[in-house]
Amino acid sequence: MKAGKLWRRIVLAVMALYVLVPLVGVAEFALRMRRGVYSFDAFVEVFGDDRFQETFLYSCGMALVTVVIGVVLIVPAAYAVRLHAPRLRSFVEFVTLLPLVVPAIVIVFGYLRLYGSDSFLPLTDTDTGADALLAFGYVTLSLPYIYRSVDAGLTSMDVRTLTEAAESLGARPLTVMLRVVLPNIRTSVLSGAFLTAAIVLGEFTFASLLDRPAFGPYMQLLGANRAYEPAALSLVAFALTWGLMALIGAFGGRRPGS
Amino acid sequence: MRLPRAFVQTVFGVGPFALFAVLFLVLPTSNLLVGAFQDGEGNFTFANLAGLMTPSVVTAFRVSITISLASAVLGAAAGLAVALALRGDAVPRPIRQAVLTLCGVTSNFAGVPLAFAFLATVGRAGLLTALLVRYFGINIYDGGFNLLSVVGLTFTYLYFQMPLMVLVIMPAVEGLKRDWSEAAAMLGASPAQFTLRIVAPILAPNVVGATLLLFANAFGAVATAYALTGSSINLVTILLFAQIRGDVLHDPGLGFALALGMVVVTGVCNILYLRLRAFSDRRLR
Amino acid sequence: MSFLTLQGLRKSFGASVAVQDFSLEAERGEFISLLGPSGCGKTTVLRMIAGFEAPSAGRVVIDGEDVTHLPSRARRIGMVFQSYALFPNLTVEGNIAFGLKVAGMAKDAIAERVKEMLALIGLPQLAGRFPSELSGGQQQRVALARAVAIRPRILLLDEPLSALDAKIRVSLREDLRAIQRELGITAIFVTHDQEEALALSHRVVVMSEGWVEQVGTPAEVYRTPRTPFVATFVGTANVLPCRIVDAVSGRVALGSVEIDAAHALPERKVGDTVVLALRPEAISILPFDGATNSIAAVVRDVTFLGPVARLRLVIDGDVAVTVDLHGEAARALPDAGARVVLWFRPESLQFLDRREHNLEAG
Repeated sequence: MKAGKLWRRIVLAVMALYVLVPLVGVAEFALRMRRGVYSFDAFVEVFGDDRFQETFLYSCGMALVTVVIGVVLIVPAAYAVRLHAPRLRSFVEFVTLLPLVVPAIVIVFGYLRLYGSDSFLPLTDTDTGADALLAFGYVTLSLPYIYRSVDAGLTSMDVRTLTEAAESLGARPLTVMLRVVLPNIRTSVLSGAFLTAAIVLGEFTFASLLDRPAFGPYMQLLGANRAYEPAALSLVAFALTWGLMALIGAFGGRRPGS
Repeated sequence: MRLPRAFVQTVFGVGPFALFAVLFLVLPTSNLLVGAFQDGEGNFTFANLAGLMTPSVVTAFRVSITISLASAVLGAAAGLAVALALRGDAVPRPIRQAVLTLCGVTSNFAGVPLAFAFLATVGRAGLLTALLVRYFGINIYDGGFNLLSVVGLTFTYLYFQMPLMVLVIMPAVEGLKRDWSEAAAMLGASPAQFTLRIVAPILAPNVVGATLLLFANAFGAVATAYALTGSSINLVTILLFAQIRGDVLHDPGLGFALALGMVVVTGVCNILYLRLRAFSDRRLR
Repeated sequence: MSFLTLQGLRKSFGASVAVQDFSLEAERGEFISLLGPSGCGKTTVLRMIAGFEAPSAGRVVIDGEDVTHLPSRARRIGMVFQSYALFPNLTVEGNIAFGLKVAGMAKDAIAERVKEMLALIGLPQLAGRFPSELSGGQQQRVALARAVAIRPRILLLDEPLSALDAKIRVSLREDLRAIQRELGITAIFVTHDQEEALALSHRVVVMSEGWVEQVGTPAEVYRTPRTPFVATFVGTANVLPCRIVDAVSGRVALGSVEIDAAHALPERKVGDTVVLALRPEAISILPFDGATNSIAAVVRDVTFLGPVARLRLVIDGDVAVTVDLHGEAARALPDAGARVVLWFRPESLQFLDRREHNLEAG
């Protein structure tokens, strides 16, 4: 009994050290900007930088667009295969897992070739086109996460009975989707959305290779040229990720109606 | 003629999703894979694949696989230990919740900010490096450590691999029933015998599967390595990144071959992972 | 000298007490059920015998050996779980052999014993299957074989039938009984199902809220319940609070109706309240009035249940009574609202104690 507790404590303590020491290190570094004293100068610099604000807002917008497109694509598909075509379900599941198999850098390479300047649909030639391509890329990246959370939500709600109940009361398919299905999987969709946001906000590969003014490439650029600001930025990014995960915890633990 | 409503709903539901998947996932990827077997004029060739045999590319694959494998195995071992430590109700609920949240955060804390954190901690001017010199007289850089090396990168990757392992393996660990350990005790088995004969065989497929997932995760990573080392470390992803950027454009076909090679490596990993998961799901149903 | 002695076992979790002063003596080969609703402490008693819970007070003695502080794995006890708890990575054969292997038994001896056990549970053809390929009933048979394969001194059964379908539950119950009698093994069986307890046991221990309510043979517990809890938990009973009219001849008043209880009550005074239990099947409906203990009643409702018809009636305005009619008596049933006369033998009435604890079991 006693020995059993001890090894658990040692393991958790080592893990906590491994996770926390780099955070302490980067925090200390960020505070060292002014010679001889600790100060928040690095944070002031970062938050005051126009590029920071622009790229951060751009990435936030990207995250929002990604989530909306992802949900609009995935919810009807997951709902339809569950209700009408169970045999298609493993196909949909397989497709949503593909982004875990194909590395992001390979996907974006494919985009550049298929939608690049000398292709049949040169999306990268205009800013709007490139933005759209980035959003589609992010939707692709987040397919596994959004699908998994939507599917979990549908599993917990007895889709068939609720649909039949709604239809017997005269609801049309769109009404069923908007007023029965979506409200019931709201919490699952939200947790998928926050996870997607956490991935999209700091994403580097897609944004950099599509040459978009996003937060990830900005952080990289700053890291290559400055000393203390990147450390402050790293802490900001950590806090942001933490916030999004906390939101998942807050929403994930609560079911509608309870 | 009226089509059955179920058919119409399926088409409207799955159609857009399928179209999207084809346009932005299947076509771009297959385009590259086909490209890997074409020369500049579109004729069939193995020349691109032969390019994979040049020493620098071979090295890149070797280094990538080494780092991915090391960070996957170490991450899996550490993550499994944490998951086992959290198992059951031996750890107070708030601590358990805090650890799991921390895992959720750190498994997503990869890329550029992670690179900064490690630079600030164990870089040449890092806090831990300095503290070790000041209080213990140990300079890890004199001892051969270098953050911008295979070892350094492995430990950096470990920062998101270990928590990812905790999250992936936790359901399997929680699936170990208390009744099993009690039944084993009643049958006269010591905790060590129970661990060796029951726990290890039950978890093995999940652990191996999760390790493969971690491997694929590290193998495809770009941002952390790029932010940490620029182009100075020879990884497949960094090589491909440079190739796409046009930094090294002496062989356009090589990019396709690199992409093909990467998909083959991660594809094999994931097929094995799915196989193992299906196996353990069936047995533990 | 009894084979298993539980002496003053007590278990508290923080401020709440799960088991209060539990004592029991079991003979070799005896089958004893711990019966009670969930939360009554029966499982905690079993887990203290198994060594999974350390008693807050008291001792567990098996065959003269005090095992109270022995770890579970050294107690040589077999246990069957509600969830079967078969090891999913081992075949049927591997599961049964597990305890023998860790004990370091020779290979051929193990094979021999496994074969013997498979024959005992009647599943010799399933040796190579994995637990996930078996039905619930088959899994529980294998779990039983695994538990008795190590020749344990005592067999503990923790609601082993509760997860099974009704039909299988009854057939496995009979097999369980046959196997226990055949092996002559001392068994402690935990259940919340009174039918199981009555059908399987030599003796039943009825528990409620951590206390022992009554210990006795199935017939004793059913026919002469000692407390209102036992009367209503084991079978159905009308529990009737009465006032004593004549302590010597045993006449009591139920509301305004006087009845003959046929028991002398020397230690009670006139006017004291006593509680009587009366089984629904001990009451008849008469076409006429006049005999002793005949009481006028009004039928509230009638439920036809096949072999039995269950009537709910009211006597003297507000005392509710349940009556079960069988066979011929159930052919012509009164309608709701009908006025009828109830009759029962005085000796069918059971005087119940107010709850008394610290019963000496054994």
